[in-house]
Amino acid sequence: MKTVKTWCNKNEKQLIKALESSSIILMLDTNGKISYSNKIFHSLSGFDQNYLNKKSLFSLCKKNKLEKIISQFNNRETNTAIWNENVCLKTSENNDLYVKLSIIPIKNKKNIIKKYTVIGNDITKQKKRELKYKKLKTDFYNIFNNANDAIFIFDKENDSIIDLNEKAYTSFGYTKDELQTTSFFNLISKNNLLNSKYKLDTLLENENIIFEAELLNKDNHITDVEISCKQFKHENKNIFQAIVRDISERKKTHQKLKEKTLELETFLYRAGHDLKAPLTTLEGLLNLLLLENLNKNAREVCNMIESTLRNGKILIENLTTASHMLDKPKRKEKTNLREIINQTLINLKHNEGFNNIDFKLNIPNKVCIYTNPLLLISIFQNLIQNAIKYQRPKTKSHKPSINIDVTEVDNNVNIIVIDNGIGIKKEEIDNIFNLYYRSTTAVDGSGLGLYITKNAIELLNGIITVSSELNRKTQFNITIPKNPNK
Amino acid sequence: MKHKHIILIDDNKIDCFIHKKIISLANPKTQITVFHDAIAALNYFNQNKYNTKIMPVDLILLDINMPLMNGFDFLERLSKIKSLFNPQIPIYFLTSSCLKSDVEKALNTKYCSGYINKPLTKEKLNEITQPIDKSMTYNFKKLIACM
Repeated sequence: MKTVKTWCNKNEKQLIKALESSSIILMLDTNGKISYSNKIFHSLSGFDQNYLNKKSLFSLCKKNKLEKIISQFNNRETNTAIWNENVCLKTSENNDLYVKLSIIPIKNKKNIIKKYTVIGNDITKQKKRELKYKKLKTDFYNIFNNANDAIFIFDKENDSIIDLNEKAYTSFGYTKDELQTTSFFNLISKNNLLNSKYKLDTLLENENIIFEAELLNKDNHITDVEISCKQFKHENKNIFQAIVRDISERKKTHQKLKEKTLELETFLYRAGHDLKAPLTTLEGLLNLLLLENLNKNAREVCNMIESTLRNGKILIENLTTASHMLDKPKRKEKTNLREIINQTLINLKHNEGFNNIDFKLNIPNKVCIYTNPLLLISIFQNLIQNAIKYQRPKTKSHKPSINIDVTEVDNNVNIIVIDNGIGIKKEEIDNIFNLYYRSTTAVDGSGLGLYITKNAIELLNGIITVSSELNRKTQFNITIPKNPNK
Repeated sequence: MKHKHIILIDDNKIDCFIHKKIISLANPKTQITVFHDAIAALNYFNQNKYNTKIMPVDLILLDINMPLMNGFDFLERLSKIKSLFNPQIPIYFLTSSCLKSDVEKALNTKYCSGYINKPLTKEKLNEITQPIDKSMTYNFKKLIACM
């Protein structure tokens, strides 16, 4: 019995010693006034025993917490169990000191609370971390909520919206509750629904996609939007984040621009054709004049007028081709390349120098491109016309030639056009596809031909490259998909 | 077959002059009637519906872009004057237009025999009188144009 008591005493002392060295220990009277405080509390609070003596613990609390604690303290008169309290105290240097206190009422024999023993721990670090995290969370939520684009977070498996920001519901006339837990796809207009679903279905994790769609407003209006969507893993679920931006203004401008461009193209096209009429009249008059008995000088002048007229007509033709090019890919038909190239050669038959050329064509019979034949004609017409124009004069050892090779590779058609003409200087080769670029004034031209060619090839989703050796050859390599505008 | 009576419908007087010249040079005996607007030409056909005295028309050369009434409208109105209108008369558009839409429309027009680009030359006139080559596309119509 004695040994047990000694053991208890001994351990009690050790326990108190351990508590004294690691925890805050306070003794309070029933009004909360401090009658005892330990060293740990002194060092944490910065106040010494003298200062603290008979001072109310409440006076050390941060003001906002004070009332709550006092009322709890007073209510404890009837409730005599131990209770815990987290409070924030002010240190002598006016810093926050967060403590977790266990308040133990000490009763006399009549079961009346006489005083309180308070054991506490410093939880300032933990609390500060918590506050920082909380602030971070609200900060991020604020950013999310105040973003200028609508943001939807949704779970595609359950097909429901998990979270959305303010813009997401206010822009389209809904309330938050109306959208939360509904399907994101309810918002997408029927016109884009299948397409949008398909796009998201095929989206891989961490992949993103941007597409345009029509979004349904609550009043059934439609807003043109751009949806930027990404899939990611969150708490083991596949989550989609969709940032939806209103692009109706952009769309309107785009539409206007399109109309204006079309207007301009139509104007250019019509103007070109209207300008052609007086030229044809002049051509007719010249034909009549040439039937007259002209002397040598007059005939020479007539020839010059004739070539000027021809240039004028080519210029106008190129101008109109360039202008209405955008309209061309819309009409599509199966176009046989061999027929197109033969047709082009017939068109060019009357060009000066055509008869000097030795044409070597290697075009398999069945190669077809599904497009507007006029586009292909304009491509070949310009390339072959150039090759004819820039030939080197025929000599005993030199015979001007143009080789055209067509091959099919998978879904593409490769076309190679090679001539053995004057070639293109290195410093000029980068410019030849530019609008109104002309490398020489020795030969007539409008500076439009290769520009048109390049444009036409781009409209067909194709590529054209050029290489050349001066006074030896020029080679154009073209690749066009068989079905360019799929 | 030489044309005896050709009707020219074109608002451009100089073009008419050129075309008259070319036709006369090819065949000086050809009678050429010129109208500078399509309505006047239409009136001519209308008034002479039952007139057997005028020389039968065996070729019409028709411009497309004309004020008041264009070539297409003219052709449509002409086809309604049934009693006189003989669908056998070859009617060619003779125009400076290379607009694909014009060419297509012309070649799809019922009574149009072909499409020629200005200016008219002896060769083009010759080609009109050649028998139609059946191997040609465009519904057996002639396209004498710089496409």
